[in-house]
Amino acid sequence: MTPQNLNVYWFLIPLTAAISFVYTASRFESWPVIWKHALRLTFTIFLIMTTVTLFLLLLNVFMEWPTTARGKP
Amino acid sequence: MTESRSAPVRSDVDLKNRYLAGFLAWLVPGLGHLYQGRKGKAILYAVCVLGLFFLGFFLGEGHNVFFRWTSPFKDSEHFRFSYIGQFFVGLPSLPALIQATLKQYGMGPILWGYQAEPSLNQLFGVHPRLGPLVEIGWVYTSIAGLLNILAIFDALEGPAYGDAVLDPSKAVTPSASSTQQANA
Repeated sequence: MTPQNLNVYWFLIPLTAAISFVYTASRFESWPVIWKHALRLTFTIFLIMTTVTLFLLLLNVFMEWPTTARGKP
Repeated sequence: MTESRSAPVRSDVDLKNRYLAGFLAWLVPGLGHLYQGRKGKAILYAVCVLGLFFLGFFLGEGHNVFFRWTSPFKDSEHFRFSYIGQFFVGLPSLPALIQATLKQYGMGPILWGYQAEPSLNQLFGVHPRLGPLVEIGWVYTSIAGLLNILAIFDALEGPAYGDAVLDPSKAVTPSASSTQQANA
């Protein structure tokens, strides 16, 4: 499997994890606290991104977009 | 002013020479923390920042980290805004700055053209072949640099909250720290 074959959404995982861990590590010094807060932040970011994606998907499926002159069949 | 407002809520971290640590943290992510003896954090920053940077560099086949000496005000189209973020990764992105400076003075690239500005043919050729990976690559490399700014501040100032937020008994008040210095 090459990176070109991967769905782009998979690339969010290392990015979100890195952001969460570095941000939390810059706030706290204790490792149990860093782990706990970083995992919670990762989960929160994913929850927000999933909610927004689902909302946009629903909007795209159910909303009647005005067709332009060029878009008419 | 009340005592609670003036007392900092920081854990007691020995920052050693904080400016040297900050410079080392910029130069190689994690090196400043290693100098301070914070080995766990050094590994975490090195893995996250360098891992993200080199993963992004690999995804764009090395064509997404380069710099060009142009004014962002006069020629914003050709200015490399992404390099502002990439610069903060430190040593791994410095060759791009050196290559751009050499080109500015009419000299050829060094280090076998590593992080030198690619030709237009190379740039246009990479997009159809790699698709969105080029963009993902520069997002990774830029965010890696921006994350390292947090790590640099951590080396300079210590953790922003410390553990005192969760356990007030670990808070270091000005009077306590001055007493410690007097005893030492």
